[in-house]
Amino acid sequence: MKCQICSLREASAHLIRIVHGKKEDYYLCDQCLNFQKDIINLNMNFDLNVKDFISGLFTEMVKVGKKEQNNLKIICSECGTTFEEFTKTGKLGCSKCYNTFKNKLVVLLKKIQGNIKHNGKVPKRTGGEIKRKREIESLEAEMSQEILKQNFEKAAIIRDKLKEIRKEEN
Amino acid sequence: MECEKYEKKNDIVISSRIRLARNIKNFPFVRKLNEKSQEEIIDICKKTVLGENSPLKNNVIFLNMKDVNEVDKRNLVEKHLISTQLMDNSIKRGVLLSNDEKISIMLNEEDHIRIQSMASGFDLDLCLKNANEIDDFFEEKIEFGFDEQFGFLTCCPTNVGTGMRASVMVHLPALNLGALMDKLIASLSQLGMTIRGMYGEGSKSVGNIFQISNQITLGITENEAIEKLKQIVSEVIEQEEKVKNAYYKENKYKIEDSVMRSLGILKYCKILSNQEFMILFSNIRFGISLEIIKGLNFEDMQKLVYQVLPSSITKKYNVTNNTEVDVKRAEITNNIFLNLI
Repeated sequence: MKCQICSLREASAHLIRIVHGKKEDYYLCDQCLNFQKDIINLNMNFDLNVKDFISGLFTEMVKVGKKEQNNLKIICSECGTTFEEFTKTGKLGCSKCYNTFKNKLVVLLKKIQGNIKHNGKVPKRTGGEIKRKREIESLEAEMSQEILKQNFEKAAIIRDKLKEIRKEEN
Repeated sequence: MECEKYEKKNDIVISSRIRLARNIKNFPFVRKLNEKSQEEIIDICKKTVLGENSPLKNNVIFLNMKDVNEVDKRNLVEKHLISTQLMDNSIKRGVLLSNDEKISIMLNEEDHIRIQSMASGFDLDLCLKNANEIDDFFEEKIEFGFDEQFGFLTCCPTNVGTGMRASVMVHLPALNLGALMDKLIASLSQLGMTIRGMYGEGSKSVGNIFQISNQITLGITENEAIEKLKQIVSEVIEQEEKVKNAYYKENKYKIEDSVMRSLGILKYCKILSNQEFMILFSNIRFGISLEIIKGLNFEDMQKLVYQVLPSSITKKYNVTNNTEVDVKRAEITNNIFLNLI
């Protein structure tokens, strides 16, 4: 079989591309295959700007059902940004947008960031409460670990620490 | 530790940079700000950084972008002190710049505040420390848009969380020569990192210079993100060293020839475009790291890169015509290389 791109050389490779969930088969020669690989790499790394990336992700999501069409009309009461605008530009309009589009954003963030919970720096001014919560969470995890390992003495020390923190809270 | 071995080693890592994106609470993001609020944001930040008890007030200047001429703007972009977006005057924008040009705080870029901290060589920890200090100082005066789940809120969800982008500029002549960049690019993107040309998103690599940066801003701490980047960059350095030495062993005369020819051109050429300069410069850097050329150091070399930027030449010598600029560039490099070696 001849290569499907150059029709000159014999095809020696089978390239499978999945575009929007649809499988496409190509039979190519080595030279054309390498060229395709270069294009794929380039597309992945240089031309992929954030806007296209996000709108691409959403276009796929939007195609899923008609219900999504209505979602496009959701509008942020604070700054007037619509969900449709966001899918086109990839940019939000204000802090409140994060609340307005929360359900959609969680899906998107899961895809692009792999995580949906902030774990980094916390502002001192508003962060006291958050820091305490994080400390409680990590102590609880530590305590369960110690219990699993049957280190009950250590677990008890952690339990007392937790009690202290919760007392302060009240 | 692997990373420590390479830390501050600057034959491959040219510079390091940290950027923090922040927005002020109760204001919409820049793209939805009206003119009055745009000015308000600039005023608030200016007062904070230049105010009475600011630790920065004596070594930072404020530039209102509408008062900066096109050449100076381009110069700031080419020196990585501002982004191209900040050049666009349709929005009121400004920058707070430290005298040593290691700190730049962009106002009303995509986010209200973008703190950038730079260092030469491989020193992300220093960059983060400096950026954090400024961030903390801002935070004493200003309340930032922050959400318990999403972290620091940014205009683009690709920055939300830490709002931190850490990047290192690397010179990878051997990997590029060996056509290994594609492999590297593919594996880096799998690790949540990107590699781009010298001027960031969408830019091409000139003179074998690339930028490697983190992509993930949500779910990991700032330190974790930096450690991961450090590890990956160390790995890249190791690969570059390996390929470099192997390549030199096999092609000794070919490499020495290309290094020495480049030196010759830099000494005696009469017209030199920036593009050509970057290619020759890459060869010289390669020559220094292989000890083919002695008596030159990387920091002086980096200063030269900034000195011969098109905008730097136009600014200093008041020449605008392309050929005139290229003639001036040749003159500068002739002087430097004839005097040095």
